[in-house]
Amino acid sequence: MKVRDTRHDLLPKATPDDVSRQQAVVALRRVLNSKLYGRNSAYYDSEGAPEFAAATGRAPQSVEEVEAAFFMSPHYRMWSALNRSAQEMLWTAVGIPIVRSGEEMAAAYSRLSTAPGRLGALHLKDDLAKEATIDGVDVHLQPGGYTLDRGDADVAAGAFYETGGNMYSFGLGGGKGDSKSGCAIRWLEAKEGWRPPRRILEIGCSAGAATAHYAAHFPDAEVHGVDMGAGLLRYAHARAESLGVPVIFHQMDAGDLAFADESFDLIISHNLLHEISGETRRAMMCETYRLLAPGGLTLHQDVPLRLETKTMVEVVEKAWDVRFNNEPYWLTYGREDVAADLTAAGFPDVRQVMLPKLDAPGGWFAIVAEKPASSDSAP
Amino acid sequence: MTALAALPRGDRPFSLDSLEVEMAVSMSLALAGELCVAFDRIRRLEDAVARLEGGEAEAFRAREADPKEAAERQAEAEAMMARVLRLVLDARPAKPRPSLPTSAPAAT
Repeated sequence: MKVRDTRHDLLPKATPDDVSRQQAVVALRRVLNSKLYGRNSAYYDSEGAPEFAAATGRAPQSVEEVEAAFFMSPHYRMWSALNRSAQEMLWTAVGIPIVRSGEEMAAAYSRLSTAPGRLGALHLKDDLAKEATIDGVDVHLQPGGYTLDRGDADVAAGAFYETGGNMYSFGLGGGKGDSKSGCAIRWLEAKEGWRPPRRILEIGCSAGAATAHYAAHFPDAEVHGVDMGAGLLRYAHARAESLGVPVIFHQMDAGDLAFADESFDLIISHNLLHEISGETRRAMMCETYRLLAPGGLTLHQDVPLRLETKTMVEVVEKAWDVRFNNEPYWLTYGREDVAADLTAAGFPDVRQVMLPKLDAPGGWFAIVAEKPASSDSAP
Repeated sequence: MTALAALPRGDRPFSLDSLEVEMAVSMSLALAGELCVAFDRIRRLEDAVARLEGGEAEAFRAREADPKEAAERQAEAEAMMARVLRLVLDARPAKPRPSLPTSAPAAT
């Protein structure tokens, strides 16, 4: 099953002009990322740092001062302005067909979620999203955020996430054949002693693209997905039904998962670690240990943003997303030892691995651990 | 656009020294995006016309205008440039915007 650019009944109907507008933003972001982003550190050296030294009589001493020095470079200021504007244009380009197709998408959701003989299920929990630390934050500038929910058939949050996420990935140079779940599955199946899982849980499943992929790839497994956003989950549920794969979706907090002990033999997450607080992440790792059956395996994949060995200049370059792209936990994730969270949760042997991308340069970071066949070592 | 513009929340951090300049840059970038949409539509139309004529799109695009057509197109291009440069062509003395008075108003 393709994960990106998959055709299904929930997608907003894009006109040829909508598609052209989206392609223009992809092109703009590719130029910004491939031609301009790499020049920023040189502009820091040639413009920002000298300007800072001229103003203060010394070199920048802290992350805050390095950031101030970056913004003393006119070229960096212009890149920053263009990059922020490009991100807003991305949401406009996908948002126009989403708003125009709102009624059709709601009707498709209603039809698919009530169809007799549907394969999966959806369990929503009223008001849970209001407790989310990301409620009120438009993460990545996604309009209305992950918890956008304007009524019983509102699926816009999922449509924004899937279509905007695809454009974001293509703008970074990713191909249509790339998928994080595909990378994970390839790595898992090459692992010594691998056995196909019988019960799979994806935490932070968002629009359900990866969840549906796991369900399609492991047809004998029972697959569950959890997220905080009702609009994301409605979309994910109807998307899976449209694609003909059975998935059970639940509205739950990643740090408080209402499943019985030892319920799953594979627990995964994709690009979730950088979206949650350290507190939620540590609670999620404890829940992962509790929910895994003895011998079960967990894999948490995310961007390769490890800041332990980075210079202050490199950290500030990465920190742009915190202020300008609403990524509140970006640096928290990059700076903290996420593998240690799994160790603290009880896993005796935690590995950090790179998962090569399927249709793009580079790879994804992942932490992987197995629960011992005997659960006597639980903390 | 109105319904879409009602959804985003939070502030908008600016990068340039001037808020007005940054807004103008963003609008220029959006216009560049719309220009891409227009170019794409022209390209689709060219391809469609070439198919209808049974020829190649490249040949259709390369077709030279006759002298009368060329003159008309040149005149249209000049008229557009004049519209773009209207503020420069229609030069007038700049009148300062209202600002805070430098002295207190006289008592009445």
